[in-house]
Amino acid sequence: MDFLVHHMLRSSAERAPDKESIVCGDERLSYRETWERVCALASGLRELGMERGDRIGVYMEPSVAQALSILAICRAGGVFVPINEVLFPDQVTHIANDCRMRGLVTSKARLDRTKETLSSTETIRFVVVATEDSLPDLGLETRRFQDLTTGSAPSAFREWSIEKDLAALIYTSGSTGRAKGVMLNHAQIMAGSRIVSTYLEIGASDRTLAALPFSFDAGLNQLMTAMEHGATVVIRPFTFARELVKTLVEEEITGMGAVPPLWSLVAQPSSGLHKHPYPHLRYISNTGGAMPPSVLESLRKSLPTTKVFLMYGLTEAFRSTYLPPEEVDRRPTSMGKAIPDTEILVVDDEGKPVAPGEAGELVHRGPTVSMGYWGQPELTAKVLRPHPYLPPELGKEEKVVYSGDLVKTDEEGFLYFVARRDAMIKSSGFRISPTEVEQVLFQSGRLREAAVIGLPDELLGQSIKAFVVPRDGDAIDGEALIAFCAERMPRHMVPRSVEALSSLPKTGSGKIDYPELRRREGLSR
Amino acid sequence: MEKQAIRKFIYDKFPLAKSRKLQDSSQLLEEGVLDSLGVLELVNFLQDEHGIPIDDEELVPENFASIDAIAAFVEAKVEAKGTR
Repeated sequence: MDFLVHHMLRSSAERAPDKESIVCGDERLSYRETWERVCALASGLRELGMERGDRIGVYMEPSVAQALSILAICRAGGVFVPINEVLFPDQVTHIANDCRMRGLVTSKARLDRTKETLSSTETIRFVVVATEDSLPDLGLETRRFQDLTTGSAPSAFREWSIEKDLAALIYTSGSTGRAKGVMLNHAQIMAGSRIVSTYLEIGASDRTLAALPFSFDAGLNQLMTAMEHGATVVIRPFTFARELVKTLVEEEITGMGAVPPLWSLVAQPSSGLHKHPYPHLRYISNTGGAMPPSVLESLRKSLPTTKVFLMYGLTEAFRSTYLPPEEVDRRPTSMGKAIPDTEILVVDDEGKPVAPGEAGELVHRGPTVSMGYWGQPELTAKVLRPHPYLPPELGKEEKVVYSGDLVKTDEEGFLYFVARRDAMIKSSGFRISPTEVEQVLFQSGRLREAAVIGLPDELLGQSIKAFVVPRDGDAIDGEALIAFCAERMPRHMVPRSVEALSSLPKTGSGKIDYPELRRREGLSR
Repeated sequence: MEKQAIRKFIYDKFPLAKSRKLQDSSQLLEEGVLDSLGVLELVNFLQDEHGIPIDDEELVPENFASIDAIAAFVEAKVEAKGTR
């Protein structure tokens, strides 16, 4: 019986051991090889002292090693914490400290940043480095990834976990504070895989292009659906969209998912997308924001026989809705309807259902509802709440996700995004809390007040604008402030513009009036 | 077009390059100084402001890996243009 994440891999390896499982550049692993390496690495992690439930970070560029690490940590009975390779030491250190990370798997390319993180964390006991070079002296137990995956695993290996056990922490941001870890157990990740592969009709013959990072729920799900069905996942680090297009052709890709900024790049003429036929490409999917209509149109022109799935999900509920491809022409701006085995409610502030056309909060109920935020019971209670209209006799055990997204439905029940309820910013597919950016702005030591908002941006979804009040009426060099931020945060978090004000608008209770700042920019909410 | 102009553009647009004291040979893509959107800004800068025609086929990471690589690529393009 498959009840843990890596069991999906094990079953696929039993069914078709020679089938290609993970591909990245010259590396091509069969299911048998993948399972053997995952088992060896899992044993290696336990030998390094990993105990049940330990959080293990995976901080590296997209690679076979990254995928193997995720699966091996599951097998070893730990919790994988995928960290986006673009994050800086400051953000990585926050994650490591927040989850009391026990071990870290990283790569040669991320070693310098890892060293900075290690100097300000106390819980990490061991590091595994994917490198051909000699191992650096990190002052704690360090092993080479290749050495842990090539050995043969001991035949006696007892699994510790059950499906209710925590399997992953996916760090994401909200409307305030720093990034927090969304807790997903094995059952939730497997439900996400089962549900998405049902409507995308994923099978053993599929070859999925993984362009999205595994630190995103949608990217991670691509790995999981492939493992579940014995399909092939092709990992392709890229700089130019044309590299992805080349991979679509050469690897005979059958499905690809991406976020709007990436689709915009793929839709540009220089990508060469329009130059080839794609007889193998069954579907493409978009998530992480609305696809601009011009981009959608251009993609459909170049991919006339490929189905387009427009999807919506938030990490707290993994995946929520999708628009069936046959509806794209009729309602290209819709988020669609609930994914299988999932119920989506649209409710007003009192928790009552709203009529079609009226805006309400999207509420998600189903097997992919997460366990909440790691170490944040109060925040969890705000987002995970009892179902608003189940009979009281059922008790209040079952939790649904209040998404914070305002949506409305048409007469046929198709959903449309309206706005965020709060100040959360979404740029380049990333969720960004204004606080994270404001804290860095304050570190410059030149500001009395700072507030950031998201402005509409065709390519990024939103771009960040900072309003600042200098200390003692100093003049502010906006360029220098942006440069200061760029040294401390990944590009998606860095403000694009800075405006100095003599004071920031406040609400009656003295808090910064974000809606007023948005109105200043001519935005309605 | 001088290497200095390329260096200045990268330092101005991507402050990380400056603060990390990157060398002309440092790996901009690997180090995370340039991402795919950043490289496009650079391509536009070379094409629009310096009239260097870049073919789609030349949009490969090797040509943009470091300041040295970009300068060599640009030099080759300028020479090719001159002999045409």
